[in-house]
Amino acid sequence: MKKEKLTARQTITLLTMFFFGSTGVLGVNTDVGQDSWLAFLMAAAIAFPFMLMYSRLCRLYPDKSFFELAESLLGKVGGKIVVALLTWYCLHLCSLVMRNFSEYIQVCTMPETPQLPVMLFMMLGVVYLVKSGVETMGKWSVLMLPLIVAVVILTVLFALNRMDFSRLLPIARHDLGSMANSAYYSVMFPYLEIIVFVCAFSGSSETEKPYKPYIAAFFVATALMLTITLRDTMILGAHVLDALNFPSYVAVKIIQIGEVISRIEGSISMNYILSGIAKCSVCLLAAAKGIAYLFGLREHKQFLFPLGLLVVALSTIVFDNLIQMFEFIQVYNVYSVPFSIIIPVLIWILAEFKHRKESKAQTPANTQA
Amino acid sequence: MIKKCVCALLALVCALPLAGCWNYRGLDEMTIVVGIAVDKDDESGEYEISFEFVDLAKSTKDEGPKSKVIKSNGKTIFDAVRNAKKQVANKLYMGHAQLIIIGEKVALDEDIRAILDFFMRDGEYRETIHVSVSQEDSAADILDAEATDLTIVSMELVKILETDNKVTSSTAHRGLYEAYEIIKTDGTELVLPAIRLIKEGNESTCEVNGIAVFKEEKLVGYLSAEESKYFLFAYDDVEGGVITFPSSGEGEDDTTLEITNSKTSRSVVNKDGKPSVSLKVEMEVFLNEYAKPDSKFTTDEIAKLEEIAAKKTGEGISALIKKVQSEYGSDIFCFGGLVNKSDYDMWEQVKDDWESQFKQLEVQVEVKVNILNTAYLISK
Repeated sequence: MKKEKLTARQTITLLTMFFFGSTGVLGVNTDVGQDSWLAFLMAAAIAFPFMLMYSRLCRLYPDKSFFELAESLLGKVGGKIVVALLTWYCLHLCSLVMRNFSEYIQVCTMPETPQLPVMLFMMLGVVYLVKSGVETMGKWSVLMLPLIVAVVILTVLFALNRMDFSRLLPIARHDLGSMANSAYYSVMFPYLEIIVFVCAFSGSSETEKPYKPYIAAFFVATALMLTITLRDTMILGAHVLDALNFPSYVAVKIIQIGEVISRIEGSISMNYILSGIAKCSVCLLAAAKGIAYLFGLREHKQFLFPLGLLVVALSTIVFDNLIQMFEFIQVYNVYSVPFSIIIPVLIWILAEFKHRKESKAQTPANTQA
Repeated sequence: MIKKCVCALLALVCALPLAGCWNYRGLDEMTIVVGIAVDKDDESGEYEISFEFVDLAKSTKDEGPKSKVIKSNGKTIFDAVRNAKKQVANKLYMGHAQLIIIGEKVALDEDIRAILDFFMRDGEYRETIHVSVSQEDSAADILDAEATDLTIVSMELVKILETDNKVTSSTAHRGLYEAYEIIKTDGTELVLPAIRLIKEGNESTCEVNGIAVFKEEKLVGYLSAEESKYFLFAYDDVEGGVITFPSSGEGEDDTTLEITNSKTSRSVVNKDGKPSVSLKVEMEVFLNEYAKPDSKFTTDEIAKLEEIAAKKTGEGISALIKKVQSEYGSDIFCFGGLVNKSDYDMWEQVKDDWESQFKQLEVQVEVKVNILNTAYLISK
């Protein structure tokens, strides 16, 4: 079987969409009002070493998938446990994202449409996308990311007459504690969710330097999310921003230039759902690969459809309502620590040791030859 | 063949959800609301909401759209909104509503935050919908009035509000989200445009009449149209309008300047540890009316006129600020916000008793008027 691979460019676009994913509609944490963007920058700074860590992992073992790496480092039993945990995490995250988007659609655009059909049709698209293969996903994201970037830039330009730069003042007047707390939210979500992307794609990158795209995607996504945070703050003001469930949608709703360009939120914010589909499909792919790996199967595609249905079923029961969804973010910050910090860091440290041992073993051999 | 059939069928099935019409609603199934008036019934204590909606049946190409008004009661605002359905065939559609008029009594007695909260929370209302206060007993009377040059009262009022600071500078308009932001921010208080009726015989038309001043969540008073102009100067929101003054320095106003451009620099000065505000108004004007046709316009004469106009405007602004400080004690000028944004350390010290600080706040006003031309006539 030919191993499907992503090119460097596809990795960048898909990972950018993955990061942008639900943050595009939910917005970043706004506990610190007009300083939210600063807190977000702080989060990016904290998350950056993790990007380096994943890049390093890719450089050490470019051909191995994350699951294979886990098993080779932790042994058969330990490896399987880690893979099982990560698979659950990917599956759960997929249903959380799915639910975010269906709630978003219900609150903002289609209040009278039940959520289940929305989720089902979205999931059908996701399953079809993933089933078409990694390459198709990559190509799709290369096509779609420019659309999202264009929408972000357009909304910023259209909203210039509604923006008030003084809404960002006074700058950096929240104490470090609350800033760090707000930053922590953004570190866990979306940055450290990159582990899901790594599970789905590590070992299937085509380029010589598989670590470079991670850093590039990190910067593009950070710029995008920073832009929407600044845009929302300058249009809405700190208090409205904090009061809204979906600030980006409302910020776009306010755009009005003359009589012609107004009420564009429906057509524009729907584009953000594309990045939701990207995120869901990456999660689903990672989960399917995890299941296939657990049972020692080479082919993961037959799991996609049942897993997709499972995700839809799961996402209908993860929360009872929107209030729970937003409260869960606090739980999520603790809940995701083992998956997105402990396991990856552990594997990285072990991989470093192993790599050192191997290269030591190799060096004498080289000198002999 | 079978494959083709299946494909065709699938395409059909896909087309259904793609259209996104789970519950299609055509234009004929909507009652499009353009204006909403919020009142309270004294006896029952219930909300009385009036809706002005576009009357699609009567609207013709020649005469333009017509509107109708219905009223409904309810224990809460949303209850009243839904109760309106009892009187109309189609559900009221709020996506095109442009104006909310809050009755004077509601503004005096109720918490305006709750009203703003409802309209912000509900998804159908635009965040940019204009909020205003009626000076009449009941806000519904405004919607019942005759429109003058448009056919729908709400739309006419919205147009008046939106163009006001370019032409007359007699009121301040606030969108829903802006009002919500202001009421939640420390160091600034809400102002909303005030609307009243002009009665002539049986007919009545409506007029925008200055500003309604809020203190926290309650209405505390009004500013006249003239005072509102000075408010706009202090707030740096003047884009047009006129100023009148006596050309000799005293007596009756006989000269008019048309403002073409105005900018107010607002800054905070630290005076012995206490904030004091300095306002520097600089405007460019055209001389448009002058009651002494014989006099010559030399640069000296122009400079004299500039000085008189500046003095009068400056005095007007200072007097208004004094009045607001002593009568309302409500920081509608956003001076607190100014201190917060420009000198945060000082704000930390004064924010806890800003209310009393505001009353004693020193405000220095400087006005500079530049007459750019004397319009068509040279007046030699």
